[in-house]
Amino acid sequence: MQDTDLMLRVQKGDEAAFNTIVERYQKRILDLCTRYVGNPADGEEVAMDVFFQLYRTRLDYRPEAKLSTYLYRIAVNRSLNRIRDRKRRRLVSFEWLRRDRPFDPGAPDEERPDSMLETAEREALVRGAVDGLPEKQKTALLLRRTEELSYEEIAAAMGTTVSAVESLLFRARETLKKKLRPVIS
Amino acid sequence: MNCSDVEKWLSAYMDGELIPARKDAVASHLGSCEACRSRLAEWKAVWQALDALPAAAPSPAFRSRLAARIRESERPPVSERFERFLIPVSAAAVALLGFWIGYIAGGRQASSAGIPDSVSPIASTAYLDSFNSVPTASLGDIYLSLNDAIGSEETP
Ligand SMILES: [Zn+2]
Repeated sequence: MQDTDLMLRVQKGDEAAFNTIVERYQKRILDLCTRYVGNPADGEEVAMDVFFQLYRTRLDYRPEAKLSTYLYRIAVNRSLNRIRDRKRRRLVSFEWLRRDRPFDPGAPDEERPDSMLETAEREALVRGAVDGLPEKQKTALLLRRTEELSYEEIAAAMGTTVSAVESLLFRARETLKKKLRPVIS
Repeated sequence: MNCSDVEKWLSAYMDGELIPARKDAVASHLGSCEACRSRLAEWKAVWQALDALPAAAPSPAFRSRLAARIRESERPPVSERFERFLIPVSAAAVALLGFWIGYIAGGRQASSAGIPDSVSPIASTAYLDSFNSVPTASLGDIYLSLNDAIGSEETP
């Protein structure tokens, strides 16, 4: 059944239709949110939030809009909110963290084999590079890279134009190229 | 199309988002320009490096936790739930109180006015008819049992 038909059923209170939507999109939304916020636990919370939001606002959904676009839009907003919240909390708790948890350089690393260490370092470097991108570049990049959306779909999800998406992706790639030089050799 | 034009279009070229004419032009430039080819290779490697970001797998509890959260959100707030419970209970209490006051007042009036005893059995029969089949534990049932109790007290 088409997404739109499912959503119309959800609007009439069909629980099974909602479950089908969750099943269809949970992996994609979870991937996007996890890569956006940077860790699986937060990613899952945000993804759950996305579907909860979809359910709560089910009556606002209009069949003219593609459901996937609608979901991606919620996912991006929720992920951004989570990151902003986290930054705010980190600012508050920074002093406390410094006093209670002294930095222990590399204690667990010593037990890890080199290959795992390399993978972890690589991941941290890529993570840092992606997180360092301006919000819009990061959003366009993840929608393209993780979800493999077309420029038109990305533009719809971000509420912008195709040519803006083109330029965001160009700039994101330029920045990443500079930052990731050590891992692409 | 020169190298700087190609560079500008390379990102969209990789994504397959160029209009056919432009795509062909980039492709033919790449065929003859070593520098642009290596730039493309570098950008592809950057794209590849993003694989390092781990994919996520939903935990088995994802669906059930989501369902629980939706159920919880659809329960009315505590105050509303309390009201829903309170309204029928207080209505029943008021009704019972009314019956009780009616019974006391009626009893008093009957004895002070000195109504002949033969009247009351007829009156209670009439009432009994109108409550003929009442569900157990309903107000009618309670009234009937009260009535029976009064009847048995008065008759002997
Ligand atoms: Zn060239």
